[in-house]
This record gives sequence, C-alpha cells and structure tokens, in this order.
Amino acid sequence: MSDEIQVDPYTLGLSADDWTDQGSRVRTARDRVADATTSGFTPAVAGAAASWTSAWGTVLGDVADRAEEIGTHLRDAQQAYAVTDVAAQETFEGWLGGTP
Amino acid sequence: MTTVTIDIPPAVDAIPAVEGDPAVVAAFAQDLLASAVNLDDLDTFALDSSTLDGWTGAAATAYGRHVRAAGADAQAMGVALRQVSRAADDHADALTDLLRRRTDLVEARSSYHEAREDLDADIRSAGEVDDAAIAELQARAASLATRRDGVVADVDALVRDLATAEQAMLDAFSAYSTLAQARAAVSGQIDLADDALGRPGSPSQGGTPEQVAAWWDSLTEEEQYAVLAARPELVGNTDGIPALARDQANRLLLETDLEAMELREQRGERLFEDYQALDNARAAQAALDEGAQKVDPVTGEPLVPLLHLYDATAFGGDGKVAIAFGNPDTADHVSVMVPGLTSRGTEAGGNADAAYNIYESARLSDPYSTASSIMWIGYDAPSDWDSATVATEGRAEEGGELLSRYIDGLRASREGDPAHLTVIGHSYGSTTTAHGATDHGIAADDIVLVGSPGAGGGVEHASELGVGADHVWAGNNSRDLVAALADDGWVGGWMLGGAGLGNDIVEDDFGANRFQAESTTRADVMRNFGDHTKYFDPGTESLYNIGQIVVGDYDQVVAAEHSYDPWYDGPVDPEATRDPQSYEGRRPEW
Repeated sequence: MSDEIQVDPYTLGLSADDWTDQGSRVRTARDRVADATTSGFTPAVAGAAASWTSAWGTVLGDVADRAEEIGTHLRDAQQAYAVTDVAAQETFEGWLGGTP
Repeated sequence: MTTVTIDIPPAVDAIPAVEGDPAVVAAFAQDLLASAVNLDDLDTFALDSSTLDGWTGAAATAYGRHVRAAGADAQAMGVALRQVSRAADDHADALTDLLRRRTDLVEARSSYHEAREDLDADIRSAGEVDDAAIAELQARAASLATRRDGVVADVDALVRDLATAEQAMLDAFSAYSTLAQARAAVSGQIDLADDALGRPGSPSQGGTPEQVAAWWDSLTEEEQYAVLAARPELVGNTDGIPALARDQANRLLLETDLEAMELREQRGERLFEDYQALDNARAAQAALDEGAQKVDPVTGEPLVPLLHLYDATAFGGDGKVAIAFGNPDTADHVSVMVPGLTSRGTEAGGNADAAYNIYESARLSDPYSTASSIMWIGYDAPSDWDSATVATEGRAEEGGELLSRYIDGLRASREGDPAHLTVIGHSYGSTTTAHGATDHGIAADDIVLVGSPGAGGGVEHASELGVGADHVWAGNNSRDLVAALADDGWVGGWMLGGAGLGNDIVEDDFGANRFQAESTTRADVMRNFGDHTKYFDPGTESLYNIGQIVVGDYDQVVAAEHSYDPWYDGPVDPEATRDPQSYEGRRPEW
C-alpha cells in the first residue's frame, strides 16, 4: 500500500470518458479491418487475407473491450472513492454525535 | 522440282490470367493504415494518461501499470497493421504492373498469331518460287521463332513475378498473424517514427520547409510509412512534405476524424469542439468526392483531388483545408488561390470548384503543359462572428506569413525543375497575398489580385510586391462593391471608418497590369456584392485571363484600361462602359 493517497474524482471521470472514446475508435478500427474487402487479391492470397482480417478483427475487438473496461473501472474507482469518503464522513458524524 | 520444308513455329499457349484488382488491394491497404492510426493514437494516449494529475496511491499505481501494458500492445498492433498495409500497397503496385504486362502479352500473342497465319498462307500459296523467295520465307519463319521465344520468356517471367508477389503478401500475413508475433516484432526495437522525428530537419525539430523536404527524402520508405501512421497530422500539414504523402496522411486523418465524431454524435456524446469540426470534416469530404467527379478538360481523364492541408479544429474551429487539382510537385504550372472573407473549412466545396475552374482555364490556355491548381484556406480569414476583422489588416498580416511559408514548402517539395508559380488572391485574400509578398516575400513568379479592397496600407506601387510590377496582375471589375473600398486618391474605404485595405490596385498610379475582368452577367447598377464573387466563374473574362497568366502566356492576356482619379472629379473606371465578352465554350488552344 502506498504511503500517500491523493485523488481528484473529477479527473478520474474525465479520463474515464477519454478511455471510452478510445475504445470506440479502436472498435471502428476493428470494423474496418474485419470488413476490409479481400476480393482484390488473387485466389492464391485471398484466403489468407480473409483469415488474417478475421483474426485481427478479434484481436482489435479485445483491445476495444479492454480500453472501454479501463473507462468503466475508472468510473468505478471514482465512485468507490466517493463512497469511501462519504462513509468516513458518516463515521466522523456518528462519533461526534452530529454536532459540528 | 525440289521440295523445301519451312518450319512454322508453334502457337503460343493462352496467357495465364492475373486475377487481382490493384485498386481493391490499395483500398485494403488504406483501411489497415487508417486502423494503424487509431492504434497509434491509443498508444500515445495510454502513455500520456498512465499517470493522472491529482491521483496517487496503490490504485493509481495499478492503473498505470495496466495502462502502460495496454499502450505497449497498441503500439505492437499498430506496427503489425502498418507492416501488412505497406505490403498490401506494394502488392497493389505489383498487380498493376503485372496486369499491364499481361495486357501487353495478350497483344503480343495475338500479333504473333496473325503473323504466323500470314506466313502459313504465303507458304501454301507459294507454288514454284525462286531461291530468293524461299530465303525470304525462311527468314520470316526464323524471325517468328525468335518472336515466340520472347513471348514465352515474358510469360514465364510474368508467372514467376506473380508467384513472387503473392508469396511476399502471404509472408506479410504470416509474419503478423497473431498479437504475440506483433509483440515480438517490436520488443527491443526502436520506434521508427520517434527515431525519424528526432532527426535534424524534421517537423518536430522545427525544420524549415527546405529542411523538412530534405529530411523526408532522407527517410527510408519504411520510416516514411511509420511517421505517416504515427503522426498523420504532421505529415499532412507540414510545408515541404511531398503532396502525395500529404494527401495520404490528410485523408487518413479525415477518415478517422469523421468516424470518431460521427460515432460520438450517434451516441449523443458530441463534444463541444466537435460541432464545428464535424461540419468542416464533412465539407472537406464532400469537396473531395465532388472533385473526383471532375475530368481534365484536355485528356478527359478523371482527376484525383489532393487534400494538401487539413485540420478540422484549427483557428478556433474555423478549420484549415487546401485541395489541389493536379500534382503541385510535378506540374509545369502551379497556382494557389487564396480566398477572403467567409473562408473557413465549411467553404471547402465552393473554393474547390473555383480551383478546378482555374485548373481548367490553365489547361485550355496551354494544353501542352501540365497544371496544378490549389485552393488554400490556410489562414484565419474573417468569417462568422469575427467577420468585422475584415476591416483591419491583422488577419492578412498573419495569413501572409503562413502563405509565404506554404509557398516555400511547395518550392521545396518539387521534383525536378521549379514550377512557374502564380498566387491568386481574391478579396481579403488579395490583401493577405500582398502582405505575404511585401512583409515576408513570396517565392512566386506572378501575383494576381482580384476583387481586391487593396494591397495593404502603405503599399504604394506594384513593384513593392517583390515579383516585379510587370508580374503583378490586377483584375477588379467595375461593378465590384468590395473593390470600391480601396483608396482612390482622396476617395476610399478609409472614409467609411477604415473599411478599405490600401490603394486601388487597378488605378494607373499603382502600376500593375490590369486585365479585363468583367462578366456578361454583371449587374446594371453600379457596385454590388454579386459581382465580387464572379472572378472564377466559367466563361468570364477574369477566368480566361487568369488561365493565361497561370501558364505564362502573357501576350494572350487581354489588358484593360486603368482607372484614374482626376483632380476635378471622382475616380473614373473606363471598364464600366465597355461591353464584356463571353468565353463560354472554350476549346484547348493547341
């Protein structure tokens, strides 16, 4: 565990949005690769081209998922920090009996 | 009687088919390269955001570790996509060559068979002939045999080269068939793009257009490809980089921009900065699509417009865009049209039309030479909310500096002899052009100013534009309201709170070559805004004369009388009472 904890929930939220955006862009790349037309290749190559685009479509899909998951986890972290903060606040409020 | 046997060489087997389609393979390569751009973006983003301001602790450390790994994978995948894309590009080139060779071989085979049948017929009809005729038939048979050997050898080479090209493509697919292979390929390797951009003269090192051109030439093809995929915005918009590379980079940017912004729009997450940028990107795409429908007026061949500059978010959302018809790196004559008020990214279509009209006029003026016509929205022209800045010269001064550098870039990226280069400034763009010329120097051979409210305050004579007064051409028409804002002696825009931007460029004192620029559709009433926007319209005097200037046929330019300013009266424009002529239906001037 780190000696120092510092958090700006707003920054986490912004970064989460950016990661979701990156995930979307990679998903577009995935679609572009998976749907790339391979009919321009000669028959000797077209089969390998189709297999390759299919395989890389899967790989890129996984990367898109991973980027979007990072966004999701950042939002989860943002929420967890907020929940922890509220819980700590409530603990103090309870200890002090609600008096300022 | 003696019987002589003459061996006719056998027929040639059918030429093997080459079934590929290079255009479709090139599109495949482009798809992969656009995807590589997305992965390179992710790599850069992951690296930049592996630490977040204001977040430390165990969770932040774990996040950073995870994100850096994701970035490394993105880099490996970007390299894989780029390598396969490059192989596909090479494969498309190889297919183009193979298809051309096959077409030639089909023709050669057919011609061989015709000659063979002729020989056969001549032998059969020969009957009793003398020794000389026999020798002639034998010589023809021997020549045919040699011809056949050549065709067969070329067919063998075709089959062999096709197999080699196919194997190279298969090797590329198999070298990067999995993520693990991609990771292994980049492990311990230097990043080609970073390495190239770190060298002296690169855009990242602040190179001048000449240094950038030399730097680009010094890169290997693989390094160029790496830089293009990693930093398309740099390749597409840096002066000194060749036009074809800029076009490829800018089209990649445009494609990925449109996809990203339209995706956000579909999800209802359109960002604030997307609002103008998406309109700019769509306008650029529409201008390119429309430009691709145009043909060369001499050859009838379809044109491929080049996206020479593109940044949808530049100038606070106004955007930058330049589109060229004809390749400025190789054309004999290059023109750059600088538009004025209201010029922004969304105006790409109308300005691209104007650039095509100039291209067409130049080609018709000299069909023996090649031309390139560019419309350049590369400065922050007054538009929309900031239109009031048209009354001042600040934007023209800033734009003039950018224009000067852009022209230096066109000069630097040239292949072979320098082009004959003309800069055409319209409206506020004429003031921008003049500022570029007087403040920074423009490496142009000719400068054309049309619809001009003035060449900038303090510029008294055309000779101050630095190309020689005899190479400064002025085309204000007599009905143009904006042109009337220029200063004529004591009359001028300065009287309207400074709306004018310098001296009248068609006045005798200014010393420019005035050419006829009236339109047959000009308004009856004097001075209106409609006649300010006709200078690049087909069939106009202005477009005809601009075409002649662009190709350097100066003696074909139809001169107009200068306006003058008698002491006893207001300014007088002799063009106001002349009947304009039409240049509709022009033919190439062979």
